[in-house]
Amino acid sequence: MQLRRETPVRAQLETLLEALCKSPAKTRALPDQRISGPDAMACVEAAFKSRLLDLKARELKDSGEGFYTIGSAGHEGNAVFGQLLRTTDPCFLHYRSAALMAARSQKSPGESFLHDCLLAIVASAEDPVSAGRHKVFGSRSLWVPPQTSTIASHLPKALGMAFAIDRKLHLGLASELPPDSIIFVSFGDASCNHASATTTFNAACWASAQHIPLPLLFVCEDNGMGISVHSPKGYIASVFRERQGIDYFDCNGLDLAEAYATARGAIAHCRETRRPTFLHFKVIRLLGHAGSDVESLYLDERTIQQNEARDPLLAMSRFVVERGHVTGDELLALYRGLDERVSRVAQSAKQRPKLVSVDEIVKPLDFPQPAELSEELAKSASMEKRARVFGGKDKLPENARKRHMAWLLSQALADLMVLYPQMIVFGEDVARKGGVYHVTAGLFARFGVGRVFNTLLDETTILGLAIGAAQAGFLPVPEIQYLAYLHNAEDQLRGEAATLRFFSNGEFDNPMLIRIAAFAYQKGFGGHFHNDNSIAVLRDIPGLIIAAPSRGDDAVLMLRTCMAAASAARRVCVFLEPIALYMRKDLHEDGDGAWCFAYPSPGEAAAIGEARHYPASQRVAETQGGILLVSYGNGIPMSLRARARLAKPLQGFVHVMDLRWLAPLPITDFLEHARRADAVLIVDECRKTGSVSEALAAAIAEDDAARPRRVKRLTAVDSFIPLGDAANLLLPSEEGILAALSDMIANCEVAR
Amino acid sequence: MKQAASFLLCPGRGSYARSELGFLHKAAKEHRGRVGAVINELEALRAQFDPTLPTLLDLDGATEFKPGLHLLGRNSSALIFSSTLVSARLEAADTKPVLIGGNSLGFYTALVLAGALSIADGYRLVSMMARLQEEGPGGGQMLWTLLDEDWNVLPERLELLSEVLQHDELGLSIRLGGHVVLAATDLGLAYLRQALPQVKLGKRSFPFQLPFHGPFHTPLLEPVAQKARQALAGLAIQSPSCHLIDGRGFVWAPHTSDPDELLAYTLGRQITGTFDFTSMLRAGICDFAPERIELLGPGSSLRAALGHVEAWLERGWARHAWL
Repeated sequence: MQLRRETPVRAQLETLLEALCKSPAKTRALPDQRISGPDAMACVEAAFKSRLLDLKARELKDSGEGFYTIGSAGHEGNAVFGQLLRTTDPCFLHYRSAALMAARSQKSPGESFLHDCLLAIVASAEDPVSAGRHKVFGSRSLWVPPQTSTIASHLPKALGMAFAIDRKLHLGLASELPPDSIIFVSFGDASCNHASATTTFNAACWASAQHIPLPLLFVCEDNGMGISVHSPKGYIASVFRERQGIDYFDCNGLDLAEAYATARGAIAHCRETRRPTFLHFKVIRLLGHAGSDVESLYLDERTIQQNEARDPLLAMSRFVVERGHVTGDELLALYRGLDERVSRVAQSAKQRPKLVSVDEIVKPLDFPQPAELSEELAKSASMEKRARVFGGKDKLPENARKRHMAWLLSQALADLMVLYPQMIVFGEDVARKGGVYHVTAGLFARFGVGRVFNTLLDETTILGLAIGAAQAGFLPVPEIQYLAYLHNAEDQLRGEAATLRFFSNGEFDNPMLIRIAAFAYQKGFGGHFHNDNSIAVLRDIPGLIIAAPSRGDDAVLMLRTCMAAASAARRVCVFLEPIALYMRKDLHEDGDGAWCFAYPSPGEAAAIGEARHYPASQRVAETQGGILLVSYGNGIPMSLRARARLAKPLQGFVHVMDLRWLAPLPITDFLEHARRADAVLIVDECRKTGSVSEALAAAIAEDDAARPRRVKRLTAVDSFIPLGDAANLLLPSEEGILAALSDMIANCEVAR
Repeated sequence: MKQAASFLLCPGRGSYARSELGFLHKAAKEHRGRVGAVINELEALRAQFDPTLPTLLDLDGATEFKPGLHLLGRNSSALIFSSTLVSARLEAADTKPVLIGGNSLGFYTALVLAGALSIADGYRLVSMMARLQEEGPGGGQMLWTLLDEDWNVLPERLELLSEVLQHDELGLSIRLGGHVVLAATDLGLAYLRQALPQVKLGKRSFPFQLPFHGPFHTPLLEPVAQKARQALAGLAIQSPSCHLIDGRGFVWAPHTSDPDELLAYTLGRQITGTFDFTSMLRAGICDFAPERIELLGPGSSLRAALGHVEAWLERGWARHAWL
């Protein structure tokens, strides 16, 4: 048997089509009541396109001109969804969805699906979906946000969008989608086992149990295989048939009329009931997992040939001829015409330009420039609206006394919710309780459960909800209760939210501001889950904005900037709130109130990537010699205290720089100061490995003018944080900073 | 000889002008075997529709092009429709149509060439639309350009365009590559004359009014569309036998198209909605990758728009298009 199955699979279909030409002109068989002739033929045309694209992708790969061969062969029955769903029912698609996309694009004017798909296969910079960055199904006009997920990481956001479209209606916000839209999400049987899938099914049930509308149609395209691993026989049905909260449908996806009728029923059910609906769509996989996959390594010859005999295109072809929708000659002409067309379009696509420069590739990841945000930052809600929310003009936060960070943040969140009606706040315990640290206190009472709500205890769902809600037009502000909890959901941020702009060349986005209570220094309480001090997992995500304020007024200013970056520049921002500084009021001694700050007036903000300096007046031009002490978060009050403990005349030699932004780092500013200093002390409360301190030290090492300086890092030990006082042994301390400063001063020429 | 996979484009009314006089005569003389019968059929249909009208061959054979005669809807529509069908016969040996479309009235011709309408019904449709327009609400069409000499869309022109489109008495009639056709009532036309500054592109000056054209492809023609739906209700339209692309860039495929929907489009959106020839060309060229784009009929009114779109595609559409 041939190892490569493209030729026999193609020949089998063509042989049948030729044989069908010999059948009587138009048979008199009664039409199948379940599907009309034009609908059946639209599905067949889409299915042919899908198969011919698969075959062409393999040819292009063989000639070194194509770069993606995961195909849809065997799954072409999914054309029925393309035909039946409205183009305003957003689709989050599995990678075997070419027939669905073809059928969907056939229903809309101005589409060029074959061209778009082939440009993607040859990785052309003109691919309208990702501009040569990936081969994905996506289309703004067809409401198909591109998915790069190869498994099931697109399920949580599909659920998020399903939740959001009804929530938008409930809140009376304008929507681009008709009110009875549903969300379609497809995936394979093997993907059902993935954590991001199981968590989504669970969240759907959780929502169902509370009668929360969730018009989400799950379609499991079950081909029985996950690359080379068989799904247990009957597994999908056994797991989902009786699942409470999700309504189950199933059909043979190889039988066009049955698939069409069942899909129509499932879509209607989902649309009418607004309940999560699961359609078990049984198909087969042909031509292996991808071009590089040789099925005969793990399947016997008989099984492969049995599968091929079940090719859905054979059944579809017989069906439309036998039912008299088309003659055999017409069908063969359609197939041949499409075959030639796909070849012509491929020939044209191959000649289009590729991505050729780094700048071009990384453009969607650029951080927003201040000018991009200035207009957004100038916006503020009217005094009347604010007064209504805060309970009177005299209660406006800018008129309050100086307060700690948690209070200031909660006022800033409230202010932003007044400014942005599409902003929603959610997470574990954020509603009535107001969050574990009371940062969301008062929001639930002021804005109601529609905009401030508790989620189930699952960070993957929280972030998926944020992505889906953002794509539905919300400005989500999810809270991750502790930094360590981010890690079990980080792919939703790293692999999904942060990549969307990149893989859609800026066409799609999911703006959001993720608030995370972070870092250690909680006096020995909480253990490592509540004192996590590793942000390496965030720092290498390209394009992600990371804020880490050390004081309350900065927290407000930076929160506003992040919201402007989300709203106007459509970015994903992470806001790290140092837990140990939430309630801190004093700086040097008990009762001095020096770490309480006034609420900055609306309209004020902090530029992205701009540091704060102590003393504020001592900027680059005046700094000469001395020690540059650079830090962020908890490191700032500790550093300021350590500096204050130096002998008075020496304090002036220590310049403290608060980075404030961990991405983008204020590197230029840092280097300008470092070049003028005699020595640089980096205080980083995160681990020695993978912390910001490494980037700062490397920046000095790479800078000719700054390199000769003495550089010292004070970081946390590469360890997990234990309970009790032992925690402090691992973290930079005021004493440690003081000792390092004293040591540096002793060797500092100017100070001497 | 291998027939080239072709995208056939049927021109609208403006394409039969002074220099096209004699086209039918020449074709009939040089290729009688191929086109004689169709010309006779068209003449018979014309006589049947309105015996008082001058024959096609009389119009085509006139020694002089008289705008007041040749450009009247009843004459120019029939002339371009007939000439296009004749030219399609002349090209038939070299082309294998993979997609058929047209601009404005050219869509009706495309319906015939794609097998969705008989020649007789196509003729009736074209002539009825001309008659209804002549009886219709007045107004007309004006051609304007958005381009600089390098065929880049000028942002200030786009801005001006969106500004003038705010006016109640006019609408965007046709997106024609880098040009636009605006359709207006007489009042709207007067406004356009003062609102749009005179500009030059190559040797041509813009804006200029298309003589004897009604305000097609805008809601101003809704009364005409209503009458057309009554007068042409029985039009025997069917699913096309070749892929057909309409004025939105929507492709009507063989076997999958619903004739009722195609009729509703033809007597509805085609008359009262913007005709997006630009999008049609882009979608057709990209998704069918024809070996040849065949501008049918005499005249060259579509050459510029096609040139713009081809140039934009070559440059990378996304960066240069007016989308």
